[in-house]
Amino acid sequence: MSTKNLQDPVQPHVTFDSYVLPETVQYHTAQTTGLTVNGTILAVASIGTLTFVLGILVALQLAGPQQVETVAKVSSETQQAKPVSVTEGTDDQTVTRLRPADLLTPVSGGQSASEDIETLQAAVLKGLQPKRTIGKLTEQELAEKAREAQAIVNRNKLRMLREGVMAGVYTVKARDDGNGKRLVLETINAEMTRQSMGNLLLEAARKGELEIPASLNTADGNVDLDTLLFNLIQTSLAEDGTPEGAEAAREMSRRAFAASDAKTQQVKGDRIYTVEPGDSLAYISLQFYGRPNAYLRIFEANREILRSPDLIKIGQRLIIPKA
Amino acid sequence: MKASFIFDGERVEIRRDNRDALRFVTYFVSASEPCLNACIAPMKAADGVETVDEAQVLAFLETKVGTNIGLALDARASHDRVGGFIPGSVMLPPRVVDPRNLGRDDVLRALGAREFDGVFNYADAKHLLIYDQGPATDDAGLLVRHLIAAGYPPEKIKYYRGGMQVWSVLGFTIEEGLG
Repeated sequence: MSTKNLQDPVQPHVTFDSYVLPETVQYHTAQTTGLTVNGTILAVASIGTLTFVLGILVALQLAGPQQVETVAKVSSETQQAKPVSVTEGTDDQTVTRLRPADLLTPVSGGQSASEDIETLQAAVLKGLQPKRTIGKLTEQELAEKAREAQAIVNRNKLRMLREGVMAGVYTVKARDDGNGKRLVLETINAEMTRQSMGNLLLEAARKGELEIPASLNTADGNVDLDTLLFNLIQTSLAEDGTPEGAEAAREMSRRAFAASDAKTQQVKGDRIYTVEPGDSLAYISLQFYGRPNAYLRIFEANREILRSPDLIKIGQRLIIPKA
Repeated sequence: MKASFIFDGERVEIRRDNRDALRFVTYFVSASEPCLNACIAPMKAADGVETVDEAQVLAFLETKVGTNIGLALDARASHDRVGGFIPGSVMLPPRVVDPRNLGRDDVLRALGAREFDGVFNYADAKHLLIYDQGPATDDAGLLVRHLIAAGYPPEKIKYYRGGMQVWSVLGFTIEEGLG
């Protein structure tokens, strides 16, 4: 009682022990302190980690093939089945995607090198195989092509020619152009020369309205305009959606087939045609199947010697599958 | 005047030294006129078809039959053929390629024609030399016309009008039997 009583009632004595910090303040203070400490630790830690990682990376890099090999082997093993099946050359994208496997595989060294070399070589050779310059078009692209063909044919002079064909007023003749006989579509009601049609088509190609397919490149390096014209008219008729159009396109095929002067030889059961000057793959197709756009049948049958539909050579002997 | 060529794997020799010529002439002779009119075959079998003589027949046998790009066709029925035929020829009576004969297309294909959608192309088809008994009959002419009706190019057809009658009189080699 004595001491307590002596204390100034107005100025109470507060000891450190009895002082209790309000919770809100306490929390706030604690947080501030913690943050400062953690920040420092983080900074130090991250510098450390970075150095560590960099160190490992450098180490890995210096160590080289040994470590990478594991990765490469895994990827090449897991993908082994794939490259073989897809490098057929039908899809450029797929081939590109698989390229890393080819690039990584050579890195592998040591004892596995000898056993893998054959697989590797096969894969590399597959990948190096020449690709078709013409891919398979989707239904949509085909429809688009057909529309383009129709649009071009519906223009001025070609329209007249198409109508002539539709009406049956035309002939498909094997005409001698000095280089042997060539199939040519001739009408009487469309008074235009072959030259003006050719110019028209070349002009369309130049403007980008018409893409001249690789199969129309001739063995002597020109573009086979006669066949292009035939194909345009025929496609336009075949795709116009009417029975008359379809029948007219079919009749074109029959006339072209009958008029062809192409000779073949039988060699070991295969029908063999020898490429002549002025031939394009599409033209050969026209002669044997009555339509230029069946050229893929010939191309497929001759994949061993044909790198691309536009790369046929005079004197080349092509297998012509039965119609 | 002679010819020597390979036909169906066998060497064929044709000469003008037939000791049985008289027998053959007697066999092929045609002194009656069984038909009402036009019993003698015209000089021309069809437009564009060349009528040929014996020298041309021999040349055809050597250069076309001998190299397998041509066929010599005997247009007579088999009962006439057994009495004697030109060596290296095969039998093809006109009715086989009559447009009404369902098997016609098979024969056309056998002659080397290729088919697509009901039409034939004859670019690979063989050159043909067609003959029959001789000027007294027109089996060969009928065969020629059937082939042309089927689209066979006339320039690939030769007509030997003399037939067995002239062939035998000239003493050329004749083969007998079912060959």
